Formats: sequence, C-alpha cells, structure tokens
Amino acid sequence: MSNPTTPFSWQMPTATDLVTDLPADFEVFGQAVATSMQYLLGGTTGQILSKTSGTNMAFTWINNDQGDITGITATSPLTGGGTSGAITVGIQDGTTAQKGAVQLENSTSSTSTTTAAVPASVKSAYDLAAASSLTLINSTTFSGATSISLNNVFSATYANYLVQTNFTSSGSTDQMLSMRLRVGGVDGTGTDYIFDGNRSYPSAVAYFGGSLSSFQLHNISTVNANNASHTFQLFNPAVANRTQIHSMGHGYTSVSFGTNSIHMSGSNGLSTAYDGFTLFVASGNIAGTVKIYGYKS
Amino acid sequence: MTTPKIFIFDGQSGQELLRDFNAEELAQNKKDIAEFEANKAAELAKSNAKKETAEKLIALGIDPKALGLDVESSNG
Repeated sequence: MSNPTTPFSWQMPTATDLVTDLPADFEVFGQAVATSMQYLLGGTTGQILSKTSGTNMAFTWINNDQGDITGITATSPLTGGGTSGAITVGIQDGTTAQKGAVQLENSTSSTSTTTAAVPASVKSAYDLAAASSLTLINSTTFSGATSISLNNVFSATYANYLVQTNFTSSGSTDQMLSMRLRVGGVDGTGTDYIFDGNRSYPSAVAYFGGSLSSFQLHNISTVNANNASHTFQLFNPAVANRTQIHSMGHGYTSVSFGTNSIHMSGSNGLSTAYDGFTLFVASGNIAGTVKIYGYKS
Repeated sequence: MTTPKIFIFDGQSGQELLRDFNAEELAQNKKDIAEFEANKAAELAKSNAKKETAEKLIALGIDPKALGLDVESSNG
C-alpha cells in the first residue's frame, strides 16, 4: 500500500492490493486521518481555532476575543488615528492657545508659559508670601457716624500696621479727621499724642502739631468730599511701648488754600499696648471705608 | 440737635454696632470741638498775620520774597 492522498498524504490501498489486505489498509488510513484531525477535538461553544505553530494541522481552541481595532478617531488634544494599517496616536503639546500635554516643573523662578507648576513650587511660593506679605486684616465700611472705633484689630501676629481710609463728610466743612489709640474699648484721651506735620497747598505750606489729645490726620470736607484719601502706618501698637505713626493723605480746607496733601509723624507718649483705634471728626458725619493691613516681619 | 453716633467694629467677633454717643463720649466730643475750633482759629490767625505782613511790605515797595521771607506758609 503506497497511495498517498493529496495534500494530507494519508495512505490509501492501490488498485492492485489484495482484497484481504483492505481491513489492515483502512486501519492504517483511518489512524492517519485521526492523527491529522486530533487537534480539532475539544473546545467549547463560541471558541475558535488558532494555530499553535507552523506545523500543518497544529491547532488549538481559543476564546473568540481576538481581532484588530478597525479604526481610531482622535480628537484634540489627541493626534493621529485612522481606520486602516498601522495607526499611531499622540498628544499635542499644551500651550496658552491649545490644550495638550504639559511638562511639570518644580520652579519658583520660571517664566515659562508652556509648563505647569508642581505642588512643591506652589507651596514654596505660598510659604514665602505668607511669611512676608502685607495681609489685609479687615475692611470696614460705615456711614452716618461722627466716630468710628475699631477694636481688637492689633495683636502679636503683626508688629506694624498700614491703615487706609477713604472718607466723605456730610458734616461741617474743614473738619479734621483725627485718631486716638484705644485698648479694651476705651480711647486714650490724654494729651499724649505728640506729632508735627505740614499741609502742602499748590502755593503754600501750613505747619501744625504739638502735644494734643489725638493725632491730626487730614482735613475732610463737604467741599471736594471725595478728595479725602489717607494712609497711616503704626509701629508696634500692640507692644507696651511708644507707638509711632507715619501719616500722609489728601484733603481740603477752606481756611487756607483749598486742596492739600498732608504729612505727619509722631508718637503716643504712653508705654501702652493698644488693640485698636478711633477715627473721628469733631462734628458732622463721615462715611467711607477703613482697611487695616498687617506687615509680617 | 442730633446726637452724634459712633460706629464700632470688633475685629475678633466681626460685630458692627452703630449707636448714639454715651455721656462720656459726648463730654469728650465737647472737648474735641473746642480743641478743633481753637486749632482752626490759630491757623487762620497765622495765615492772616502772614498776609498782613506781606501787604505792609508790599505797600512800602518791598518784595517780601526778595527778603527771603516765607509769606505763604502759615507759620515760621
């Protein structure tokens, strides 16, 4: 028997083989078929055949989760994509004009507009700002008062303070906005406010000062009422020592020459720790905003 | 006459209060008015004195500025 089939080469009887040899020939033939088909056995519902090697009839049953993606649609910030062949996908660079991939950077000095700060650099900036900045402690807006007192605004948290006022007057003209330090809700009213200063007019200078019962800050008037901005700095008001003041502002008085800028400096002669202050005029009402900032040393 | 009012802000509690002056504050306010008026009168007097001096010098044919006199400030 030598009659191989094509293409499996299973041995078949030849035309001249004896009939009595047929059972043995078919046994050889059948076994060859069974051997060739052995890997088609087994498997389960839904499985598919997969080649295990380059050898003929080398198969195994595998799950039907194989296959290629048939297409990728890329939308910004992704780039690339496609529906055939080798598909590549990328991420465009992020800029101030487009979203995209951004390089992180641990820096507090970089001026880059294409990188992003990491938490470490943000913390460094925050710590520096918190340690040395001018901090707004309070902003108070009021109206219809002759006097405004701010209690418990000075503390050991800050050594020095910046106070900004922007007032209008609805009272008598030429009022002097004055300031007294206070503690425990009580103003210091003795003649302990020692200061000197000057008001500068377009064509003149007026000097003022002395030891009075309050610091004189600046003129506030119904005339040019909005020209009454003022800033003063207090040094160590919460310390039991002489509190120093530097003051400057802009106001109006009809007594002399009209609008003026004013500068004053001085100190409170008492060694008292204060927790607040009072701003007042002798008569009429004032309105506006007081902002208190603390200098962190 | 309307009683003056005081606006009080407390930095710890955040509370705000607008009320009439009490007796103690009214008494202090009277002193403040007197002090304010006195200062205002003194400044006006200084200013007028300067002007009078300047006018007299000018009447005599003397330029105060030529003498180095500060005729515009209210003291000195």
